[in-house]
Amino acid sequence: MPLIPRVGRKNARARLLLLGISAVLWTGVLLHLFPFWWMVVSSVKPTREIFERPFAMWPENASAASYSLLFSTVSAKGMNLSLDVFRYPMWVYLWNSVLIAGGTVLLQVPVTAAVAYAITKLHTPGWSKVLFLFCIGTLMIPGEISTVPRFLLLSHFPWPTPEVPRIPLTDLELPSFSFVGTYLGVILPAGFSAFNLLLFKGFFDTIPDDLIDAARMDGASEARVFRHIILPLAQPILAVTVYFAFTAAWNSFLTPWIILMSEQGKWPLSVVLYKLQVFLTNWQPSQGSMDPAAQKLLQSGVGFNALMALSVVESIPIFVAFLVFREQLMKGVRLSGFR
Amino acid sequence: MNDTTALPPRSSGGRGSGGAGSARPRYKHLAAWCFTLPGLLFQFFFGWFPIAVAFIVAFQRYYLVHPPQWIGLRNFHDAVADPLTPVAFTNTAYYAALSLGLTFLVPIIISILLMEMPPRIIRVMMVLWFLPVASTAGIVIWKYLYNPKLGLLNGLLDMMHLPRQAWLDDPGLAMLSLVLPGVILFSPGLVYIASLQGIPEELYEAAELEGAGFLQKIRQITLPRLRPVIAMMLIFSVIAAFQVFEQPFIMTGGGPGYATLTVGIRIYDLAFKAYNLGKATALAILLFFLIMALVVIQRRCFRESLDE
Repeated sequence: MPLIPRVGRKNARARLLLLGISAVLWTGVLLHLFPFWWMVVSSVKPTREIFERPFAMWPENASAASYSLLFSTVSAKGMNLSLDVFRYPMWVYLWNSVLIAGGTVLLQVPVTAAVAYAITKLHTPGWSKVLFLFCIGTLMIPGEISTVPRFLLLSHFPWPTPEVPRIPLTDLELPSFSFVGTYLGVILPAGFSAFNLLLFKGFFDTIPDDLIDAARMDGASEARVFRHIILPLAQPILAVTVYFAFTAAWNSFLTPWIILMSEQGKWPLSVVLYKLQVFLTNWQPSQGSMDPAAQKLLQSGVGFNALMALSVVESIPIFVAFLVFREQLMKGVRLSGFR
Repeated sequence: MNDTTALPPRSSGGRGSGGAGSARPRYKHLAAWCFTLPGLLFQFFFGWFPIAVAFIVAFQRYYLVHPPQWIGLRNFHDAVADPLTPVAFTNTAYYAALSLGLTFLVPIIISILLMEMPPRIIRVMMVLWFLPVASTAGIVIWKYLYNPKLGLLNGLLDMMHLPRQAWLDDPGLAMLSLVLPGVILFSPGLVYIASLQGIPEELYEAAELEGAGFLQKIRQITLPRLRPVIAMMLIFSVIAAFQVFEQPFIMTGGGPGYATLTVGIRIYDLAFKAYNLGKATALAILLFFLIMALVVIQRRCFRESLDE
């Protein structure tokens, strides 16, 4: 509490100032939390109430119909809108998100940690500098420039051309892999993170060389030193990088949207939320309509309540990750040179 | 190189005091490159290589179905002559100005104020203030709140007997509506808090003795200390704001009309709807140079004022 001195906190002016600050902060908190509240409340409203009492702060008859979409599919005849989003039960999409985010964390964090360690402790100073610039140079470059080339590259890795080049003088294609329409196409581009490298390097810089040398004297291999001495020490920064890698992958939209466009069974939640939102924007059943297709949708919990239920489901892992890593996050961010 | 011969020394060198010294440097080389290689490959293929490819594709007539043809600067010419390009750049600049103006300062102010609270309250409030939401979820929640018929915002306007708004469907209001959620939905505050906690309390006590008031302390101690962090966050925010894609793509799709058509959306449309990859990449390169210019200017400004 640096601005208002502790001793002077009893006098009227300081008290008033503190009160004002509290008021501002709590108002902000309420504003910030309100959409969350609205999301949860709307998700347990039955669809009928979404249309008939759209502004009610509390559901009249709470219903888990929207959440049941997690385990069921919806089809209705006579709809002039496509119900493709509901072709799979929503848990499929949830699982896809888990696979993509989990795969990204498992790939990115070890890969990045290893590079950071080598740059800080193993390479000669000259190499260290060159490699460091090579690794973080992309951080300052706006990523939109590589959207198209990355898509080309992933269509038949590693050739960014419309067709795979042939081996000279023959008719044979050079080896290539298509990652479009696969989970790997989303995971591999996130295999290394320049930002997390900065975090790791900031931490490894603080580890004394003597510690590593001592372990080497005892005959430990570099891999052993890294696994048994460095990584246990690096726990706080590991937590932070895992958090960043996880949230970035979980939230990613454009990459899975482009890469998995034709593979609906592999869509993550972020893409499905978008598709569901498009569907709902176009679907406005007239009030009291007896259209059997609309009736069926209303009963199965399709509506903005479903969108909110899915948002809740998508947000829970982010909430949990934040609460779990909160303390580490603060420590880690401080360690990493954001001073 | 030496890598293949580097393996044996570990056994032959033994653990003698001299042996370790001479064997280690070579051995370190092999290990160093083993540790580095996977990351370097990823960084090469998904970091630098696509950027290099962009500078090739942009000079080609590039559709997925034909072999590409070199056409010099034609794509850039087309991109500049395209009537939607100035619209997209204007919209993007407007978005960036709005979003930086409305959202950049809030976390800084909040973080500074937050530090005045007792430690226990800080911990509680930090969780509440910085509680994140999955990003698409955060966007679709607002899409629902803005819904002209069913959205809560119009419900609130009704309650206050104010005229309803079309929000995202109103060309004049759409861009502001895109930015507004960012005012209360943010997380960069965490970075500021972290660096605020690193300011030694003695500085404030010393200033107190010299009779500095509330605002003076912010001006003389807090802000100068935060300056490098603010400069860095500003660069990241500018880069992010000029590349904005997801919010307009999900909330408005660039509409109504072209009211929220940003450069990011235009690039996407050119590439994945018109399949004109060359022109899309040329536009991306124009955006790239604009952002880089802004970053350079920004760094120069901050460096000069630091030297004073």
